[in-house]
Amino acid sequence: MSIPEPSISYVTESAILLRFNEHDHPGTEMQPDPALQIRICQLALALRSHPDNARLLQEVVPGPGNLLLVMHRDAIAEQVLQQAESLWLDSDQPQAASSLIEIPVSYGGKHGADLPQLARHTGLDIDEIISRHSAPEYLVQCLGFMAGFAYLGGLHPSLAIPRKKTPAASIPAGAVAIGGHYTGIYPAATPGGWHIIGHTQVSLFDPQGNPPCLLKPGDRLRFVPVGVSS
Amino acid sequence: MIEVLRASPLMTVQDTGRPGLRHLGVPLAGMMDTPALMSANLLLGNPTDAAGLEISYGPTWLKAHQDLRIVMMGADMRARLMTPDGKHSIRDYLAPGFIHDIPAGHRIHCHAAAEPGQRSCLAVAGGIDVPLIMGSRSTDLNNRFGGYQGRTLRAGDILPVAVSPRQGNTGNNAHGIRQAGASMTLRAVVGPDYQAFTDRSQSAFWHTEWQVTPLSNRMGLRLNGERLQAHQQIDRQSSGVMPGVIQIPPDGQPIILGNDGQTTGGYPQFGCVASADLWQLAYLAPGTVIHFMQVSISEAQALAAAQTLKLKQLELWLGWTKS
Repeated sequence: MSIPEPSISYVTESAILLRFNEHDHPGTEMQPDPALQIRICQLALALRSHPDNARLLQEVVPGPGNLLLVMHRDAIAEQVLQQAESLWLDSDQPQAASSLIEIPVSYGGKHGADLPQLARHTGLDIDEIISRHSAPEYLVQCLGFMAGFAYLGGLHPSLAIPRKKTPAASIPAGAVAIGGHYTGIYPAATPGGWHIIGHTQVSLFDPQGNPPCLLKPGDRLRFVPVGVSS
Repeated sequence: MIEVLRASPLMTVQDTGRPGLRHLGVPLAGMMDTPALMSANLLLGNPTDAAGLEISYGPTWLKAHQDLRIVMMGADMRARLMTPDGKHSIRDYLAPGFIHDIPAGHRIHCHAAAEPGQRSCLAVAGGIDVPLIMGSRSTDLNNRFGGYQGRTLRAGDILPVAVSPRQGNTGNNAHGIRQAGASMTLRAVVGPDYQAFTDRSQSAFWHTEWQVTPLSNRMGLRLNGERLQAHQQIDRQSSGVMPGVIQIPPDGQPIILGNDGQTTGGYPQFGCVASADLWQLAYLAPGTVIHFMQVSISEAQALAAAQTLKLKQLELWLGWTKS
């Protein structure tokens, strides 16, 4: 696999967006190549832990197929890009595997109210959905939407379902859900448009915790069924 | 301690925010007019990032349970110093930008701002001493943590005040700082998706009026004006965004992200408000008509550097007047 040169653009005078898959698959909600995304997350981590970071960068934010670099006011863009490029070339080497986090999920029942709708939409029976949802090793592509909310790449394409037209007024904390080609877990109660298929007791975000977020970009994750209610 | 007797809607504890955590989905938060808080803190001898109160439109009553020194900035809410029973005014006008001493037991009364949606900032010597969570005392309303119990303030809340690290500008309350007035023209740079928009939309953005709608809050300001259109549908992956980013959703009506805005966004990024003008978002009340003025990246960098320098000059000047 070859990784394209990123396109580089200013988001504002202190922030640069690197887009690595500019010309990928227009018109579809495609996911970035996992190998590319892992490298982006590794670059983000390397930039964040680099000793010069404190002086140059305020934020390093991965997105699917892209990376946002927010500079400190007195940092020079060329210097930041140079550092990013040299760390990017280093990240060509195979890296130590990131941590694999297992999330026990109770599928269906009152905590997975949209499972029957997903079955109708996909034509799969509920056992098959659970088996396909809990089979893959997902990649935390990035976090966003709310604190601790991870966009998980690697959903079986047969389980994709468009987001609800009208978002549910309140989705409970711990809800395991599918939206488009993504699956994820809601860290706290919120309105949301994804389809809820299960629930986990695991805490995703605790501002007083160390670390506060269970998941970080580049982590791997697997769902483990612990019970199915009908 | 400061007791809240009556809180304005959406009154919160804020400092200079919680940068560095956007990759975990944690937004900046912080005072919308951060330079105002920083200036007030300098005047009081606080660290620039000491926490204060962000007071949005609406009357507010506070009670001092200890001697306080305060500075108010932002929208002028015609604050008064009141007797302990709240019945009589002792000083009819606590002018913004000056230090005021509030004796223990007395009350502060703030009137409503002239326009709904405007904010003011109350800084106190020592700073509001709520716990430091993930590096900041700011309230994150969406994720419900930080500040005072992760929520807006209400009557009965009691806010601890830290001991002032040094006496700022002691005994000389004659010096004040001027609150910059919002200009209703936001300087902005073009963003990654600017070229995808039609010439007509590009031109309309810079040359027509935009009205701030009531669907505006600390997360973002929604604008109403000409519908901005792309040459073709833009399919882009979401990416990291930050306060000031101007997104164009499918209805063509821009959204300017605020301090509490989400950390990633999927809408096309048309441009971004220059950092040096972000403070003005605190004063763009619903109904306000604004314009955008295009600046280059290097112009925006120069504006940001000038803003930093201004605060530095204030710090030096205050050190000078003290000695």
